[in-house]
Amino acid sequence: MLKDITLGQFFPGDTPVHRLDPRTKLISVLIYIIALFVAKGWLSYLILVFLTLWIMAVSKISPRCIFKGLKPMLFIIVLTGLLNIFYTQGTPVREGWIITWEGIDHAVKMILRITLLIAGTFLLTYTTSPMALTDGLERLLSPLKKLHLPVHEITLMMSMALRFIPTLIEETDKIMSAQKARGADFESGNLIQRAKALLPILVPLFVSAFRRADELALAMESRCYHGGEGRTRLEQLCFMHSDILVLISGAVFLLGMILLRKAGL
Amino acid sequence: MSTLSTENLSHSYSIGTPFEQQAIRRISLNIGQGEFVFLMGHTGSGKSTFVQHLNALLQPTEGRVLFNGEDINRDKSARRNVKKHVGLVFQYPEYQLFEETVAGDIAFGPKNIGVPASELPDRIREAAEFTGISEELFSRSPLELSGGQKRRIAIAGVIAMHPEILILDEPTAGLDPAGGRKIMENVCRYQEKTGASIVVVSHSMDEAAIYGRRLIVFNQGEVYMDGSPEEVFSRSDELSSFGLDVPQAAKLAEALRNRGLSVPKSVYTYEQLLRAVREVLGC
Ligand SMILES: Nc1ncnc2c1ncn2[C@@H]1O[C@H](COP(=O)(O)OP(=O)(O)O)[C@@H](O)[C@H]1O
Ligand SMILES: [Mg+2]
Repeated sequence: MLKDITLGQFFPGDTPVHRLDPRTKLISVLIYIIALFVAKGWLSYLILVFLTLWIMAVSKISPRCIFKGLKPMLFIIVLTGLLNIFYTQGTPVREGWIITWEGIDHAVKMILRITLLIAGTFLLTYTTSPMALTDGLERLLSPLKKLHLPVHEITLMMSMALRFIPTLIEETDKIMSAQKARGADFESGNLIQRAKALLPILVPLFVSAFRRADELALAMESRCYHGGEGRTRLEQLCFMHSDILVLISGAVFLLGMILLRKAGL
Repeated sequence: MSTLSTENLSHSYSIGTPFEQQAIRRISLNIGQGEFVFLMGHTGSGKSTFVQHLNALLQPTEGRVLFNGEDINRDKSARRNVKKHVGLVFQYPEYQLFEETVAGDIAFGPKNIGVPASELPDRIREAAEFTGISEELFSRSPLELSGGQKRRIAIAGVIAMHPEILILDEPTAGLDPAGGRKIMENVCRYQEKTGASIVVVSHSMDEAAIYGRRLIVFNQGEVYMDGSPEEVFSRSDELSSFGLDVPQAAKLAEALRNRGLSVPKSVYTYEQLLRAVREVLGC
C-alpha cells in the first residue's frame, strides 16, 4: 500500500524526454504550469491535454503510472469538482435545479487543470533522476547566490530528502510487516486506537532515521565535504540543440496560449 | 498437529510498473509437524519473499498457502488468525523494538493476539529464558542494549506468542560466531520443549550442517534442491555453481579424500569427520 506512493520516483529510460537537460525540463514545466493557468477556453484545454498525452507517449510513461500518482489526490480533485458544480451561479441545467451549465463547465475545467498539473509534474520527476533535478535547480537558482541565499545547501538538502524518500518508505514497509507479524493491527479500531497503533512504527522509524542521518554526516565528513564553496562537478550540464529547440518551442507555445486567451478560446 | 504447505506459490513485486519482477515461481512445499528446515540460497533468490507468505504478510500473485489444509488468505480474519500460529522473526529484527522496556516489548505480540494480562508475566519470563535474557534487563530500555541482546529480545517477542511454526529470517546475520551459536541453540531448545516446527533462513552451510534436518535450496525464485543434509551436500559442484558453499567439514573431508584417505562422502560435520577419520586410521 505504501508502495503506491510514487512521489519523487524516477523511471530510468532512454527517450528524447529523458535525455533533455534537467534545466530545460524545469523551465518547460514552469511554462506548462503557466499555460495551464492562462488557459481559459476549451480549445486551450484540448491542446494541453493532447500535449500531455504526446509527451507521455514520447517518454514511454504509461498512463497507469500517472494514474497511480494521481490516486492519493483523487479526493481533492473530486471535491474541487463538486464544489464548482454546486456553487457556480448561472442558468440551471433544468428548471429548479441547483446545478448550472456554468457550474459543469467550471468543474470539468478545474478537474482537468488539477489533473494536468499533477500529471505534468509527475512527468518531470518520472523522467529526471533526483540528482539531475537538483543539479538543474541549483544551476537555475545560482544567480540568487549573489543575494547570499544558500542555494547549494538548499538543493543539497532537497536531493538528500528525495534520495531518502524511497528508503524511508521501504523501511516503513518493513517495520510495518514486522509489527504485523507480531499481531499488530493498523486497520481497525477508532481514531485514537489507530493513532496509538502507529507508535510501534514511528519509534523504530525515527530511531533509524536519526541513525542514518548520523552515519550520512559522518560519511560525508570523512570524505572531506565542507560545503558548496569551490566544489566542481563530475558531470557538467550543457545545452544541446534539442534543448534550445524545446525552449524556443516552449516560448512560442506560451505566446500562442496567451493569444488564445485573448481570443477567448 | 500443524502443517504448513504451499501450492504453486508465485509472487511478483511492483506489478504494472517498469520494475515488475517475479521474486518466486511456482513453489510447492510442505512443512510438517516438528520439522527443522533450513532454507538456503544466495541473496535475492526469494527466501525472504517466500517466508513472508507463510504468515500472510504477503499475498500470493498466484497459488495458495495452506495452514492445516485451510487457505490462510481466505479472508481478513484468517489472515490475522494465522499470525497466532506461525511466528516470523524478520531479518535484522532489532530495528523493530519500540517499547520503553524490554519486558514491554516482549509482551507486545502476546497482547496483540489476546493473551490475558494475568498470563503475560509468565510468557515474558519463559520467552526470555528461552533466548537467554536475564531478568535484570526487563526494566531497561531495549534501545540501549547491544546488537546481540536486541536481536534476542526481538526473537523472544515472537516466541512469547507460542507459535507452532517458528520462522527466522537470517537470525545470525551480522552477529559474532558465539552470539550466532547461542541463538541457534535457543531455537533448538524451543523446539525440544514445544515440538514446534522451525524454519531457518540462512547463508551459513555450517549452521545448516549442524542443526538442519532438511535443507531446501532456492535458486532464482525456484526450489532447486530439497532433501537431507547428506543429499544436498553431496551435490557440492552444483551448490558452488550458484554461489553457495559446502560446510567446512565437508571440504576438509574432500581434501582428505583427494589425498587418498577413504572418508565417506556423507560426512559434513566435524563430529562425523572425526569419527570417520578415527575409523579409517583405526584409533
Ligand atoms: N519490497 C520489494 N519490492 C520490490 N522488489 C523486492 C522487494 N523485496 C524483494 N524484492 C526483490 O525480490 C527478489 C527476492 O528478494 P528476497 O526475497 O529478499 O531474497 P532473499 O531473501 O533470498 O535475499 C530480489 O530480486 C529483490 O530485489
Ligand atoms: Mg532475505
